[in-house]
Amino acid sequence: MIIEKLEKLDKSQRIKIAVMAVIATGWLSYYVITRSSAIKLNQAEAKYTDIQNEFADMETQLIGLSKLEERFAYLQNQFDRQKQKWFTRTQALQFFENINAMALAHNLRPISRIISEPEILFDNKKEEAEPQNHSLRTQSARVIVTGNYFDIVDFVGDLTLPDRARKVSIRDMHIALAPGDDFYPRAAFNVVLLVDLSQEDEA
Amino acid sequence: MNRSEFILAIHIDDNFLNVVHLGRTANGLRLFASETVPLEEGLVKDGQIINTESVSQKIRHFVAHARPKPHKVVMLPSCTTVRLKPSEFPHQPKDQLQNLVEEQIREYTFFGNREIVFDYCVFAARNADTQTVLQAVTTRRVSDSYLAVARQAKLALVRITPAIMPIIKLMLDKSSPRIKDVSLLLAIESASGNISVYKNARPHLCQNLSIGVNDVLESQDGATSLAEKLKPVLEFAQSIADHDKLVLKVAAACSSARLSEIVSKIKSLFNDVEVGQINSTDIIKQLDIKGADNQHPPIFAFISALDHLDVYEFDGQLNLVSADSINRQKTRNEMSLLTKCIIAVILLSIAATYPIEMKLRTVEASSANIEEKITETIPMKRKVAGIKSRIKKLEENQAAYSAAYDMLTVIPWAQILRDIAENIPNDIRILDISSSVDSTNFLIIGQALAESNVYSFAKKLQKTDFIETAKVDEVEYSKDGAATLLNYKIACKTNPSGSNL
Repeated sequence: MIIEKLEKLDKSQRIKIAVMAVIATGWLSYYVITRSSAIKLNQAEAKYTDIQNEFADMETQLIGLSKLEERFAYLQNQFDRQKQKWFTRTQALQFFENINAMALAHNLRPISRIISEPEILFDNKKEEAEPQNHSLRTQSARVIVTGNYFDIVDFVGDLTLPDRARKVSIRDMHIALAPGDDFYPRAAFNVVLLVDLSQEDEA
Repeated sequence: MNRSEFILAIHIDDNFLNVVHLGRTANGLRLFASETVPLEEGLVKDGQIINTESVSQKIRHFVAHARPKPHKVVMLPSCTTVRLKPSEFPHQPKDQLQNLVEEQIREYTFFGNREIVFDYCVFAARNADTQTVLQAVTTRRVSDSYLAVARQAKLALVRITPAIMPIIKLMLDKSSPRIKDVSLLLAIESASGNISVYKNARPHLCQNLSIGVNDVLESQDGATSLAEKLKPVLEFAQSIADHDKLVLKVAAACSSARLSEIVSKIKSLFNDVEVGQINSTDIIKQLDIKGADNQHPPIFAFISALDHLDVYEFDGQLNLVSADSINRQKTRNEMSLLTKCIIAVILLSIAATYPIEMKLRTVEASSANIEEKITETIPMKRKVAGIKSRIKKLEENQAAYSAAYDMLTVIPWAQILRDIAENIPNDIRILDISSSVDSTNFLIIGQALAESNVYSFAKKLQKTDFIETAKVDEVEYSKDGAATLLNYKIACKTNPSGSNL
């Protein structure tokens, strides 16, 4: 039937129909056969690009891993040294225990020594602020000695030696001569130490 | 060499497929190949091709082995399928003659109501007023079956011509020296034949015979039967003949030996007739055809091929194929080509998906590979995250420790007390040194004899490294017996930066 219809057409019409048929077939074939594959390929390539980028990011991170490890070791070392500036609770108590002996060594007469419980350290500038670390405390002992003024000076100097590894603070210093006594003043002061309770926990 | 100068001529009768492959080369005519292929019974019946596919398959087999590859074909239907009729026409231009022939053919009723196709050939003697047109008529069904065979054999059909026509042309060719001798032509195929009568190189009678080579040679009464059929024709020829003795030429679709046998039988039947034969061997010698050594090409196909190569010159000769059939064949060929193009386009589309699919697989494989690597490094990633977290925590702890550490102010009391002792004037006495709660300020209380000494003391204290300011806060005189004492208070402020020296 198609052949009979085509027979009636002239050459130019046949060529037109043939070209249109080939183009239509090509178009249809592209949409039915080739296009889906091409779309899949595009999607796969897009996914591949994403994965590549992710992989590149990860590689960058992994390259930074050794640097991070170095930094961590450095910071840990630094932190360990920093912690050494703090007394453990035992060390603090030991230090307070030794105070009387130190006073005697400076020819002073120890009158009293009252050791307080550790107190949570607050930021003075931010009084309402929460303590940054609950394991960091201050512990003080009220020390009273009598003796020669210069011995007292040496004793205080000995307590707060600049080359001492840990910080020792003297507060509420009060030196006074007792009535009738011109040579042996009485010195009362608080010895305040920085105590890191976490070091006891670790131990 | 031009490809168009090669021709394949195929003559099909009831029992044989006769094929000749002839060409015109720079060295003249050349017979490339020839073959007589037996046909199974029933493929062709009474000259009508019943099974075109089987016949075309045999042709394809021949073509497959032929070199050079033949492209064009001339088909020759059997004698029984074509009716030949000579008619007289006055001399006139070719196109007018064709119209006249066409008009006359329309009145032809031999094939009843069946659609017919026709061909014709003009035979004219010099200085004659009229010309003889030998009309050939067959049914369109017959010609379409030959067209179908050519198409199925993938050959371009140049022409369908009656098998007898080229033989007639050969006989009546002006260049032939035997033209005056010829009065009758007997053309015999395997199962049919044709007898024609000529006078002055113009056909006068053409009659088909239902007797063929097989009948003449293999049947006991074949010769008798042939004699009976030829007798009235010979009588007619005798009546119009100018010569006393009739000349009968015999052409047969068989070997030279069998042709000679037929000729001798006819000679024995008709003593008063001069019987000769037309065989391909003589023509090969006459035309000096190359490549024909030891070959005896089938006569009808061979002469038809020669005719196509314009060896014989006659007017007329159309094509026993209807214009509609040719148009239909052309359309089918175009449809076939278009179908191939469409299939090619579809295959191309499918083929185009192959590299895309390959690339897709490669990309997916690469993606899977990278994903696997990513999976493998997830613990590393966690480790990185863990270290980062620990570093952050460590930094926070460090900051907390540093801040807490810095918060505790260390007043260098030993140095301050030593500075006080070193700078105190002789006539000044210290009774009390007391600091404030945060130890940054302290108060010196004492007694002096002279006020100037108190101020001097304060000034000296202010010059020390760890006392930022030292101000005389209170000076009060008091009586201690006869002596007058000065009670003083010096307010000092420690120098925080001095502690860092």
